[in-house]
Amino acid sequence: MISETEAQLIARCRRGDAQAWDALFDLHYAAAARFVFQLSPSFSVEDVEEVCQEAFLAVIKNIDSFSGGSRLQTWIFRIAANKARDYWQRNQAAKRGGGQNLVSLQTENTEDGQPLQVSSPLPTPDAILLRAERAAQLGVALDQLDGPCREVIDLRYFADLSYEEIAAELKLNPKTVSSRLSKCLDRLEKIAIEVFGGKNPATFTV
Amino acid sequence: MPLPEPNKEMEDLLRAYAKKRREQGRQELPSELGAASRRMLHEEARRAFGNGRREGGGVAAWRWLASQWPRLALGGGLAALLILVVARSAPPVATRTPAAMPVSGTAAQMLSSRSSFQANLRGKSLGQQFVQVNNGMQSRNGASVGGNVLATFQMERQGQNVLVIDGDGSVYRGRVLEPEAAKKGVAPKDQSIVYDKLSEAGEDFDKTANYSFEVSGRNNGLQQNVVFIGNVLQMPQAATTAAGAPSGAAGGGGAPVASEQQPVEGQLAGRGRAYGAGASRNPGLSNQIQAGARQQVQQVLRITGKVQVEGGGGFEIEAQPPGP
Repeated sequence: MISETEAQLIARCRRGDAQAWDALFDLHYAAAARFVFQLSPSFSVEDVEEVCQEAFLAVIKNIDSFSGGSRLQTWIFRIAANKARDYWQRNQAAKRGGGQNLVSLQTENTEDGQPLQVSSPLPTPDAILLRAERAAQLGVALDQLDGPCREVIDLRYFADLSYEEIAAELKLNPKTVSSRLSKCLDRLEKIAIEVFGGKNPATFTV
Repeated sequence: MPLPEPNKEMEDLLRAYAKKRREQGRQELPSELGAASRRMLHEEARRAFGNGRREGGGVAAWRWLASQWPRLALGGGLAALLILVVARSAPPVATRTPAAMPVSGTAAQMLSSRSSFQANLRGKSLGQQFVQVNNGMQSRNGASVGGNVLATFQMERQGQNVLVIDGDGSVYRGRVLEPEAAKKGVAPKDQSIVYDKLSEAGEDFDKTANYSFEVSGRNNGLQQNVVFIGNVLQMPQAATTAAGAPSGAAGGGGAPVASEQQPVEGQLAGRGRAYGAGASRNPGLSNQIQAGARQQVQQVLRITGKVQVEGGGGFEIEAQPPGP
């Protein structure tokens, strides 16, 4: 699965060779960023950079546990996908009000006595407009897909892995991968129909 | 017109979506890792690996152990079980009782028996040594049988178990015989003759304290099984405090005590330490040990009986403790 060059690079990284780490970042960072960017239509460039930074920190911490059962890029993509999901869920929780201090509407500004100007947690009008555009996209439905379905779709369509590569990465039979993918696409379709008001998602253009 | 395959539609949509996002990403995303992020990641790598060493050298090992714990636990359990089984099936030789040992067997078994006995000698008592006084190596038809079988030997009784170690290191094991069995096994007429001889010599003995025994085992020299059925004549306990050992004249023939005793001492490590070179290097200790041994020697006056050698006929035996 893992090439000799890649194995040597990993070995050098494990020995603490800074040039090897540089080479690893150059080889995989941009690809990982593009992969993460596909995972959610709501991800901005800054979001992707933050997710990728977390992902590569995890790569450094866990490089010893990389067994070589798959390509290094596949392994990095899986870490990045997990980090992206965590990041997306954190953002969703924040948008629902989680982690924010509640302020009474009767509270007066102590400085000038004017009514307090509380910033809204809701998207700004521009963001609403942007979301409205993106809402037409499939990514909205994708965001509602979770667990094994999301993982197998990410690896298949965003990481461009073959059934065999996905099977090796997830330690599944290729036929199981095919079957799971088929079921997950059905599920995604159902979600998309709900998201798009009962219309067939195929009528939407991406 | 039939609708297209749903999965095919979704697949196409996903591919189109991915393509669009990738293109968008190529335009918007930086083509390489930013300098600040790169610096931060290098810091982290340096902290984690240092100069080729992982931070906290045991982290990887602990992670490996954590991932392997079911196998390690299973392996450890099996090893413990194996040790338990082996320990139970093979108790230490020194703790075996004589009765638990096979009567005859391989040289290894004999060595084992011998070391057990020697352990007993060291830990409990010195046993008691005897020499033949009748030169009884002749069969009833006058033929020499048995060679040096039981010419000198050491005997110890522990409860009902009797252990005899021949001069050549052969070990014979057996038990005290019940009175009824003893009558059949030991010649009564020989016994009465010995009693008479002892009485004539003025030696006091207690007929009620006597007992018979039967031991058997493989003789190392002959490589044949030997069965020894004997009768022990014991002095009353009060007589054991009397000074001096019994004379060797009772059975007649003048046993070659010095010459016969030496090989036994040489071969039996336990006795060798007590009577041999070790004792001679420490005269005080030697005297103490010899005094203790003599006290025991005085407890038994005679051993009479029959020795049957496998395939070589038998002979009668009369033995007594060696002289001082």
